[in-house]
Amino acid sequence: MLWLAEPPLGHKLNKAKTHLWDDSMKDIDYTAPRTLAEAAALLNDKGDRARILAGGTDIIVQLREHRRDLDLLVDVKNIAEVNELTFDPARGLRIGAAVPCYRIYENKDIAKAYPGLIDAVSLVGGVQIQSRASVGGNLCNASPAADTTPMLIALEATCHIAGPQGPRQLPVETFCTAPGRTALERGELLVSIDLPAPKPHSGAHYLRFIPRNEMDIAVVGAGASVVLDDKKQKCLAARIGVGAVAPTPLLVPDAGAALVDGALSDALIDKAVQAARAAAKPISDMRGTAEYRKHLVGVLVKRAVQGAIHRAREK
Amino acid sequence: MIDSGAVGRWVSAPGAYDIVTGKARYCPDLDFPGMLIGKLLYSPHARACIRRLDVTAARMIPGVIAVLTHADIPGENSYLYAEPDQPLLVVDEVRFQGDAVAAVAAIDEQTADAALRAIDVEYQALDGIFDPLAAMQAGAGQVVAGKDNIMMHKTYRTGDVAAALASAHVIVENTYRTQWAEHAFLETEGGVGLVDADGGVTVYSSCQAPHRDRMQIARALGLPESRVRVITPYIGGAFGGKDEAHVQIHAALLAHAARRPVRLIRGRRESILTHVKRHPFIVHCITAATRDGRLLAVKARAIVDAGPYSNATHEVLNKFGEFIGGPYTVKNLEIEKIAVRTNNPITGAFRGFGAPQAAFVYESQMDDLARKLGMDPLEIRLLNGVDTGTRMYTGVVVREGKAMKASLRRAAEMMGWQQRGELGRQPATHLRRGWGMATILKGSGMGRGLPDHAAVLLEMHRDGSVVLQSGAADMGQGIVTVLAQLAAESLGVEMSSVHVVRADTAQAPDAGASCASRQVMVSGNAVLRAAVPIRDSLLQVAAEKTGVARDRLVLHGGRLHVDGQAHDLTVAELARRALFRGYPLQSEGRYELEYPADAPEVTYRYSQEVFQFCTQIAQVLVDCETGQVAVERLVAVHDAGKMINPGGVYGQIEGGVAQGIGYALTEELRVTEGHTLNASLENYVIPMALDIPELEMDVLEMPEPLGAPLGAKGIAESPIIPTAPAIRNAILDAIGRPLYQLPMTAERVLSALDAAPCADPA
Ligand SMILES: Cc1cc2nc3c(=O)[nH]c(=O)nc-3n(C[C@H](O)[C@H](O)[C@H](O)COP(=O)(O)OP(=O)(O)OC[C@H]3O[C@@H](n4cnc5c(N)ncnc54)[C@H](O)[C@@H]3O)c2cc1C
Repeated sequence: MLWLAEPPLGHKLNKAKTHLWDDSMKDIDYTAPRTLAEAAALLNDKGDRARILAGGTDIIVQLREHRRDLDLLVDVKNIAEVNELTFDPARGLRIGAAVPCYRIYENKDIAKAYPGLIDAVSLVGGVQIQSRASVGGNLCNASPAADTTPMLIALEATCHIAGPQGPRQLPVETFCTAPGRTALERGELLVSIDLPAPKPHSGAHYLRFIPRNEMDIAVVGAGASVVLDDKKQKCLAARIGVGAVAPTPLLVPDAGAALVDGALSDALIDKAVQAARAAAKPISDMRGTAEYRKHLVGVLVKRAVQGAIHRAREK
Repeated sequence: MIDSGAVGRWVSAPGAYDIVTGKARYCPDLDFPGMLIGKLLYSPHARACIRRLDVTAARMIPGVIAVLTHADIPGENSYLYAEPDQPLLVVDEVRFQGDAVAAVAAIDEQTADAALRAIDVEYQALDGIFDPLAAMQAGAGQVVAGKDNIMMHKTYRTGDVAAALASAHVIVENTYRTQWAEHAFLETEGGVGLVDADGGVTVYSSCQAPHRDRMQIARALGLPESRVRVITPYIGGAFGGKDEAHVQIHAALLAHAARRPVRLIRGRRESILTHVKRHPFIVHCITAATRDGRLLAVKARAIVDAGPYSNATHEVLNKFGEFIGGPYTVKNLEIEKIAVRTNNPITGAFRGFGAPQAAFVYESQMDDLARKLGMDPLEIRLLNGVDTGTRMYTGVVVREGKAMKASLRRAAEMMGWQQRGELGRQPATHLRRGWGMATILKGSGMGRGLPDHAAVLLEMHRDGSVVLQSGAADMGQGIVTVLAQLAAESLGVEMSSVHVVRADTAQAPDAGASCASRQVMVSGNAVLRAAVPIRDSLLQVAAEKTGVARDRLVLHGGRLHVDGQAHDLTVAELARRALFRGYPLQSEGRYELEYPADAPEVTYRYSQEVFQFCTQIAQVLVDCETGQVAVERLVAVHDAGKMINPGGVYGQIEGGVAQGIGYALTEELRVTEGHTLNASLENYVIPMALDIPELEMDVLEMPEPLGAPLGAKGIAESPIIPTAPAIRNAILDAIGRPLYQLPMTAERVLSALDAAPCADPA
């Protein structure tokens, strides 16, 4: 319907069939299985009439606003694997798909090891939202503007997936395929997101642009992670992820590559900025025109890279 | 009156505990046996002809009790209090996205939804008229058949503008644009209709004007007003958006048809799509001054997009024109005001009635002028500011105007205006800091020549407790608190002894609308008057009992005082004795806003004559790479005449400034072809706690000499008015680039910078 609010970037619009303006929600079945296998079986059975419920901060809102039409919600919060949050300095971090943001930033070891991730999880909504919203839900909702996804991309995360055909893994940058769509097949669900252990002299930073100071959807987001040499003058490896400038959050390999091409300098960072701008294919919407987004992605990538380098040098 | 009892103290609002603990009941909390849920059906088109409207299938659904179309309205199908030109239910043509087509009442929400879905409407979409400038042209077609698209066109002139412009040393000439803005009250519009045993109707209404709602409901039902009762439960904000009646009329119609209680509450999206918005203005303004910065002339032409129906368009344009010269001495002024009908959202009352749009123009002009002349913004304002006794361009003589300059000086002192550069204009390569001020005036009251009165009923019981009946709606602004304080003070009892009954037309006389910053003055005075005969009775008894002359007796804090010394006799004891003797302890107080009879001729129609003056100064930090503006500090100095309830005054300032920051920087309804795209608080960006700096406030008390209770004048509107221009002028100071459009979004600031990216600090 024309008069329905334009969906915020990336929220899949299930065009409402009615022209009612109410926020009432239709009755829906709810179930809370205890094992991954049960959850997968339910999803397999119902296909796109069922979806997973993690924190519910996206899915409930979408149901209320008739942006999605479902018969069944499968609550995964009783399943052990999706609640796991473990950090091992040698092996890295495992974030169960339903772990809410606050558990991540309240863990001191994790906060110390992954400051870039903390930037992102503490930006999602406000304190209330963070006590429910999960990183897995943020990823599976597949909004191009999701705040944690660009950072996960920059941090080289891997998605662990369970399903009727057994487990599989995907690099996070290939997980989202279109606004509201993921690489998950029928019956599959995300179990956890694994991050490699931080390397020596590494740093990461995420930031976003919103028109006010809290509680808003990113107009553009940018995450950067860098690994510096012993002298901290050169970049050995770098990854840049950007959000809200394409149908999915993007890894910009050229931007990362630009940074490992000589001694760190403003000129070098500018090359990464240019690469990010070139990769961005934004649209115009209520939050900003395509031109503005293209401009902003450059500004944010520059600041994210500077922030990441700063953190790597501080360590 | 002796030393301050309740008045002037930081008191807690009656009901505050209930509100914060969730016990207070608002319209959506009301429930009655057999209550139905009401809903309205809207058109998916901004403009369409209704070819067929068939509700038969909807009426057949079990659980659907009433389905109404225009044909089922017993009384008049057009509403609006001033000029009833908006249909309650569309007859044949939908003229904007919020025009309701049908109303249903059903046993629950889902059944009501099903009923709406079952209504068969065949629309023929029509080409809408969405551009007000195009709508003014000949051959544009008519938005409302038989009515000119130009709803209003008036010009006011004083002095000789042409001659003044010819003799001017400097002229600034700019075109300003402002946006549609949303009230975003916490509680959306709602009403609960009940049918009384005798066929009358009672409506609980989330409104600003219960007696006026009563008139409109009676008109729609075809009932005498005596058969309609309107009660205000707790109300969660209004800001002008509930000045007009809304769904309370539909709730009454449905209840009347269903013979059962009906609750009709607008959803948030529905609310945003249907109720009036702040008028968007296009203003062309020329301001002329002498070499030394004295204002010579102001010439402006304002065009507003009114949407299809009148609502408060006349009033808003009237106030815009009244204030376009600002709080300055301007001898030559010309203002042309044009309102145009379109198929866009309807527009109406919103905190300030056109004064915020005017202030954005005149205060921006002042800074552009100051820059051109190389003058300090403070200096040019002090040079031109009005004072007590100044005759304004409207013909009004300012009775008490010291606060104009006093607020400027005090705000400058609080901000450290003279030392402002010292903090660092460029704290980082990409950041620029700037300071800007705006000073304004806003009238209180409806304006000379318009009805502006209120009455209250006051009664003391034998135990000394007091009940006050007032028809003034309390939407959260706190009029109930102020009236309780005034009653307590004038009867010499504690505030806790006074119970103010929330406005109920069956019990309280008319107080008019809670708008135009007027209720403290009109209802406040009515309370003071009502208290006189009761106090007389009490003192009479006291004099008889003590044998002391009446002029030595005072009631205070629930006790008699003789020569300033507390006496054994309590007010309760006096009340008991007074009743025994048959002295009256109940009375009506009535007050009508006074205008001095001997004033010089006032040439501007409906001029207000009591002024709230205030100055705000903003300190902003602009990110020159993103265009984002952060308000780092904001100083607000306001004149309240006399603070009856300081907490209420400061609260109004805080709320107004917060709303003003949103108006300045982010709030804007995006409307395309008559459809609002961001009809949710997810996409309509209001400021949050982190966007509001800790406000630095001061309140001046310059008592109003005439007609204000204890000198108090209103405060509810002025706080939002200077915020946007103060921020605009601070941005100008920071980046050296002027903006002429609201809101000043990051993208707009950036494009202003594009011409001269990040100019070096001045
Ligand atoms: C007020 C408010 C503010 C917000 N602010 C932000 C913000 O600043 N930044 C931001 O990025 N987002 C924001 N959001 C959106 C939302 O909070 C986040 O996307 C959040 O991370 C979603 O997590 P969740 O656990 O609530 O997901 P849910 O709503 O439970 O699920 C989201 C989607 O993912 C699917 N899903 C969840 N888990 C799995 C799984 N394990 N396998 C397969 N599919 C799964 C669900 O079926 C659903 O479609 C905000 C939301 C609100 C209401």
